[in-house]
Amino acid sequence: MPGIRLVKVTKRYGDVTAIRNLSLEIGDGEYVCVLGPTGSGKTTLLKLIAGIVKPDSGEIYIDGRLVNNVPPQERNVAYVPQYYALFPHISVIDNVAFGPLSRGVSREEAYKVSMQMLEMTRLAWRANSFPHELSGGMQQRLALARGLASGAKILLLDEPLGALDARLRVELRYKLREMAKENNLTTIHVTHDQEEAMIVADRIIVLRNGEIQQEGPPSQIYNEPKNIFVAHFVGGANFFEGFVAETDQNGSWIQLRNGFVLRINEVFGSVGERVVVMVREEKATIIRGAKKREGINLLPGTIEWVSFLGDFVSYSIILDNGDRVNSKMPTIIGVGRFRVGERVYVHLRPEDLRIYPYPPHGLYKELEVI
Amino acid sequence: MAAKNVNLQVEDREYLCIIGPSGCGKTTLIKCIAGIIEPDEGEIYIGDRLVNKLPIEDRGVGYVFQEIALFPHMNVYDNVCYGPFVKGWSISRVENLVKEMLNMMGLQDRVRDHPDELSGGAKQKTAVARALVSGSRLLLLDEPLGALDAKVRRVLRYELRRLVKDLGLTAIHVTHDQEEAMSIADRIVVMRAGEVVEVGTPFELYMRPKKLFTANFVGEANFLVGDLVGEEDDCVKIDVNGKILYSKCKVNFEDNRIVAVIRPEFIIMRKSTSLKEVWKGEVRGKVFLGSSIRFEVQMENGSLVAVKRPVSPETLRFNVGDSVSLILPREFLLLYPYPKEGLERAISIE
Repeated sequence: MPGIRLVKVTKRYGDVTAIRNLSLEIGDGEYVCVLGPTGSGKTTLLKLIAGIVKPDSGEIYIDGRLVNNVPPQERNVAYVPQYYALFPHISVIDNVAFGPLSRGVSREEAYKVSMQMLEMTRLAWRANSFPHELSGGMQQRLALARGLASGAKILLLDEPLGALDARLRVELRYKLREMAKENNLTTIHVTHDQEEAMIVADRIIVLRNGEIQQEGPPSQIYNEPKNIFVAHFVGGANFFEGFVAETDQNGSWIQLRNGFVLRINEVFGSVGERVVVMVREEKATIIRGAKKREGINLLPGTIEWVSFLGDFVSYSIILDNGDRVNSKMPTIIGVGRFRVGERVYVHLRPEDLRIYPYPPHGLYKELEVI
Repeated sequence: MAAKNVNLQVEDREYLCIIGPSGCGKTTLIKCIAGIIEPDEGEIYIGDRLVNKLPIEDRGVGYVFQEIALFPHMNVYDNVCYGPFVKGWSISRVENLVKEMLNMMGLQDRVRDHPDELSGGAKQKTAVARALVSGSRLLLLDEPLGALDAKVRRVLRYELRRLVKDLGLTAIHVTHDQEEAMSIADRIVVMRAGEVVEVGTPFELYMRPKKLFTANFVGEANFLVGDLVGEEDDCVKIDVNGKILYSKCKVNFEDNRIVAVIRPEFIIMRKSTSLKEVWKGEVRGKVFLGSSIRFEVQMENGSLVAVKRPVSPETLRFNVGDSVSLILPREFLLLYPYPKEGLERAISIE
């Protein structure tokens, strides 16, 4: 029986529809990330499942039970808000014991469980400190311990790492998943950080304007994005505008700006149809341009900018037709290889190219994140 | 002590990033430069001028706050005009400059909007435009992208740098995000507990960090504790819990106890091989990162090592439970003396 099920749920705040006719299923024990930009409805989704807000239409089931009219405290979920909402006036251990105590658990049992949770989150040694005395990372662990102590089998995390330094986020994301899995919890982890989602999730649900764009395991979302938004939001992507010039039984020829042509392995659309071609940054290979070359998907251009990113080097190339391409190479291969101003060829393998219909509001609008 | 005996030189037209964990003193430092707070000791020079006693408005700096701090009751246009207007510039001079700035930032369609109608990124751009329009040659940015989504940050940071470079400004940009600093800084200052740990280009800090803390804070690294046991073939020989490794690093340490550091993406991983120098282990974890895969490998001597490889048909075939052989190339294995305070304290980012 699936752990959580939403059927055609809609939630409005005045004129704004935060969640639109949304249906999804989350399996028992699954670690799911809801990924989307600010304003996509991720927090609202979490609050609907927690019972903090009620849907305007649709049903929510937890463990097979319809919970639309069930208050939060009876849903067996632990909700951890973005800024933790720790009780500042009581100690660390009292913060953790609060949940069990308010549910009527005996003092002895409540503090025993709390100590266990603190040991698990490596905070036992600070049991008598106060929240403001803890570092950011420790406060996050305290919020988690408090959530776990409730005994709930479902963990709802709203940007659990959002309040932390970038470097700490990287360290703690593995611990989060580890802890959830060790305790056999069903977890919904909301985030705007796609890198984080890729690392911790069994499955990712990509949300935009209250609607699910795509859901699936990280590798599928990354390698087979269903639309331009998902391709752009998850990972680095290059986009080319063009139209279908010719199709045959094995693929299509797409004409880009100023006469450049790309071969793709997909039979897509009809001749003359406007399209967008996508290729991941790490699939755009750069070849030295000193010698004149010819070949399929071999595009001449000039290196415009080089950025050293640590484990990767990023080259920005302006192609002779005016399009821009970003190429990402592992440092061990790419560092110092090409210089700004150097003439090169960008090679795109047909099997690495994905094609999409041209978006009705224009490509720029579709890619707009700012 | 928020900042301790800090010596720093920033070059004209440099894009400098100051990074470090929360509480390391980076914001305190930038506020001293701006004149928002006064140092207890030491001197601050902007250009050739000693500015210690100069009030903020006379220092010629543009400051972008972490909280953005736009005037909520004014629209974008008025927010950006405010500084020069208050300084008494002529209306035509202000108008021209502001129009140019708003066009450069792509805000020309949002001039009549109020802050609460703007997206996070648009608010940020308005704050930057406001700081720049004062005509300052030095731009101080305190976590300018902190309030924004990861994706927006990744796009906007390049725009920030391009703007600063196009205008020929000097920028000091404080951030806790080392990836952000790496992608746009000419040079990076690493701070910790009020002190400067190290200064260098992104390449230097990543490939040849001088301090263990830097190796851990900038990018990911494996830390292996061991002992110097000799020399062989112009390389240093070390013993890591029974496993012998080689490094091209030149050492001149007091003690034999060392820490060997290697980044996960420089380790070579093979299914199995009979090469002399291999190190055998078993894959314990595998995480797909998009363009690369991160493995956790338990080695025969007990060490747990992180390996990162680009996605390819070969690397995709490794699975949890597989026996593998690792090669740690000598030129990428860096050596450091074992720290007095212990390894964990030395590299801790909290």
